[in-house]
Amino acid sequence: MSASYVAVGWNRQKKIYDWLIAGFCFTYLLLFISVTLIVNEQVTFETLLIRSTSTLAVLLLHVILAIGPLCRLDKKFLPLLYNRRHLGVTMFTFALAHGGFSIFQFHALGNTNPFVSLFISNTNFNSFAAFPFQALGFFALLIFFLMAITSHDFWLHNLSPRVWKTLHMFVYLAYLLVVMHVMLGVIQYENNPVFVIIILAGAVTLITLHLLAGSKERKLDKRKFSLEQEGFMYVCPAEEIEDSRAKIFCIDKERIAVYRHENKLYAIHNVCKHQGGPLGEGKILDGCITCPWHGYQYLPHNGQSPPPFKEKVSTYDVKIIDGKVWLNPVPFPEGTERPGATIK
Amino acid sequence: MKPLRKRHLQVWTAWAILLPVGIVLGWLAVPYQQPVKLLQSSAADLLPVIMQTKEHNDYTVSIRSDHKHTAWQLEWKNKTALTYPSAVIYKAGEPGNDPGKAELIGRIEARGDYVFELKPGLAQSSRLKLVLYDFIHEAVIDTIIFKNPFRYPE
Amino acid sequence: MIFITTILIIMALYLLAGLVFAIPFVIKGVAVIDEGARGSSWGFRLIIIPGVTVFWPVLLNKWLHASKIKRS
Repeated sequence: MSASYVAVGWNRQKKIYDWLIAGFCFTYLLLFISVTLIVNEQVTFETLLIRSTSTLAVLLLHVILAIGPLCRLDKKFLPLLYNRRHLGVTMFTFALAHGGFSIFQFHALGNTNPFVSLFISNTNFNSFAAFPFQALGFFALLIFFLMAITSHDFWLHNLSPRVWKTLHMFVYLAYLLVVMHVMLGVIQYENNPVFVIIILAGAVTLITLHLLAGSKERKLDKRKFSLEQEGFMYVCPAEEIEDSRAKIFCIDKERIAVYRHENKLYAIHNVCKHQGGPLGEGKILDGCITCPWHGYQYLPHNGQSPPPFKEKVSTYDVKIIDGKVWLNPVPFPEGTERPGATIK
Repeated sequence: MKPLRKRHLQVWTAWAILLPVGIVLGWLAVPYQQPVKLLQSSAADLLPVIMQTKEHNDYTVSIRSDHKHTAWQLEWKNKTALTYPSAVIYKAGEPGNDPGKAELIGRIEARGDYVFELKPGLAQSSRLKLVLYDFIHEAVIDTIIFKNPFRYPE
Repeated sequence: MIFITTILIIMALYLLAGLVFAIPFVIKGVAVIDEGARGSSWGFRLIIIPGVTVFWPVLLNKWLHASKIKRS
């Protein structure tokens, strides 16, 4: 937030999250290595390292890519989103270990510079099956690297949110590269179709989740509000909004979150000042509307972050007539105090 | 819809086509031939009789057999860590050693001992020429020739 | 081969320049371009070094701008 930067913004929840990540990774590596050693006694230490780190990184990448749409489909998954960037940096670390070991194993022992060797040892760019799949992995790793080194909020501010978001959208390209790296790499040496099925299942799951989440939002945005009185639009019955939660309404292409807090309704602009997170998908914690993405907080009655923070969002007027919620889509300047509407 | 989420949806609509197509094409491209990996050393017991041995600075290669000379093995022992991480051993087709036309015997890595079964049909041949080939850098590393490997020297 | 070697050498020089730039930047520059970095911890300054090494032209530009505004 606007106070001084720290290296890693740990709090109790994030610490629990990180311990869970660490525990999961450790268990996975242990299981992978022991199962491989039992099934294939001939396996070398280098191969074990290369395979265990790569499969773990691919698994984590799937989790990371699933978190976004899962949260948009069901708020139960929001705790996963809270610290997604730590998961991302963890994934990069394992991908880097895999890339590092592989470059060392396959390219560093010769007399050519390992990075030159990576690109010149296979130049079958016109072939599909013999395509230099290592280059695909290298470029995916490069994208993950750029994302990992810019994961601190400092970069969001100084590269501008637009550039930052665009850079981080490249994760989708990286995912495509990773899938093809696996398909044209290790799969070409494997006879067992189970690996293809796993990759395909992962891709189908992610595609389905993203398309579902996208179409759900499209429906929400297409809703027409027709009942209008003195600038107020009828949006929903008052009891539909749960306590400490919000419903989002899209009027004239602007999204507004109507929050219920201590038996009153308040309306604020849905977009968080930090990274554009959807405030209406969060909840009220300690009396503050808390963004589900990174926990930025705003007071419901005036849209201001509690001191020492300085972020402000627009507020709106809301009223209740006969148990029905009416919303005025004309925004007040950011941080303007509004009385809210009491639920009887 | 917010432009960013619209972009997400656009990307995933494109990916919904590209990913399955890429995966299926990649699968179809898997070579029909038995892949190299399956020709790694079997965990079979070493046959008792050593017929011939060739020494190299980095490895020792032996032809082994049982007492009745009905089964044959190629034993490969790395003495030091090799400077190429992974290589395959071919029985060269005569003449020349174009690995594409040769018969694959097995795959070795930089360290360790390996045993590969040799097909009984080989026993008729008077000469066994092995090519050690680095398939990552596409280079022949070594050629090892055994003369009359399936008979005791007279 | 020469092509790839040349690209790699250029990349290495670019990153080396970034690393050299990173030293004065995290000591002094970072607080000039971003008020959130004033009085920030050493952990923070260390953690942004890899990024500075890559994105140094952007930050150099910002630093020059910020000091120009200060002077005028």
